[in-house]
Amino acid sequence: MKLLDIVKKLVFLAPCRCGRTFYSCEISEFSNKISLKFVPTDKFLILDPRREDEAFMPDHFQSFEKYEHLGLVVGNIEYFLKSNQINYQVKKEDEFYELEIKSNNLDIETDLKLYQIFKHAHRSFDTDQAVDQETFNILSDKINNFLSTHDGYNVMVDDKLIIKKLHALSIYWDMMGEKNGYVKAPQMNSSLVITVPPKNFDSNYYFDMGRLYADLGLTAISRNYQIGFVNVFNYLDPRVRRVQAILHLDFDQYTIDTVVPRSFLCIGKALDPSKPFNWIAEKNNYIDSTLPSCILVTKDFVTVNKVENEIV
Amino acid sequence: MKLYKVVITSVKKDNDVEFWESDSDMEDYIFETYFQTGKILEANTDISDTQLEKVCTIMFKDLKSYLEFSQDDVIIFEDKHKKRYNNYYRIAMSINTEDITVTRDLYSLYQH
Repeated sequence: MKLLDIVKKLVFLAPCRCGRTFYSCEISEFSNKISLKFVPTDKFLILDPRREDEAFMPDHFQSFEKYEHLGLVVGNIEYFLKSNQINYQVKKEDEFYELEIKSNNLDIETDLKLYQIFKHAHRSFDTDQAVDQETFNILSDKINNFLSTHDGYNVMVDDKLIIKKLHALSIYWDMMGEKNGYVKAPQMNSSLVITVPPKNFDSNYYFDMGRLYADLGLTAISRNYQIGFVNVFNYLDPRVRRVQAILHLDFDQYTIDTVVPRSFLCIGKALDPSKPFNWIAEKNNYIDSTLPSCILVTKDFVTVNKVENEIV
Repeated sequence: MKLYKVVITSVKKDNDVEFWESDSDMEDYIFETYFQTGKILEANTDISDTQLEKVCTIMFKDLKSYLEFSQDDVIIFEDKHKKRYNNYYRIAMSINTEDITVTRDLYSLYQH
């Protein structure tokens, strides 16, 4: 498959939550390189009912997710490029992020299954199977390496009792009461929960965090684990006090307008590999016990143009 | 010896909706904070044959324990959402409280 086609597929395969297409992607094909320009925009956001539910959220919650998603798509492609020893460069401009691939006209035999799995949030993990120590160390090293240049925290939780507490908080603060108390994001109930939040709100940090999460997630999947993301968290529930030291939060100090959002990456083995990825084992609100994923529903956000002669 | 009894009754019109159910972490919290400290001596839940009425009876060690429970911000936070859920699904809820005077022998029954 041509490198350009692969890259385009990887853009479409990037994880996104509930149809949130937070950016446009302009791909320019040159004779000796491919440039992808990712521009943050709300133009392609669809009105998924779950997005309407979240209209109450403060702007910085919408914003952090936007930059995380931008990082995820770039990280998705970076992982592929690194795996195939293809040089590239990521540039941050004021209005957009650019990924420049230093070659074109490559024909690569590839299987994108890894990226297809990454796109879907796994819902039910076998929490009796811990993440092996080698994988844990690989992921931890990647996070520590990231934090050597970024001002954030490394939070890796594999203690079942703490994960149970995190799971109880994995719902948006305004959704409690519309749903029964036991209904929470099922994927938080996993073997290893990771979050690498910034110390202070910073869009560029969230972009780089998204790139890191793509690396962590794809690494975990390539080591035969499943992954799921959780961005819902009940910051207003006083039970946060019981996990605040671990999450580097101070319940009595922040408000919903000032709290720095956490994004959780959940890792583990499938509880029942014969079931679809979005099957929910625990008691839930869904008629067929599967939680649908809302994929990117338009292809219009990606444009490709061929540039005959590059102007230097 | 004076105990404090609280009876919470929930009634729904049909079985298309469920009664509010706390998550298991909330049950852990109440167990650790109130049962293990002896502030709640016993709690029972009964559901009617028609499944339309649920009666939860909680026996507190004393009025002070009940007041601590009712002013606990974790309990208040959940209660706010439980009320919202009940309003949304038209579930009626009432709370009745009473002092119970028991003999020392009967009190020992609550000391599980």
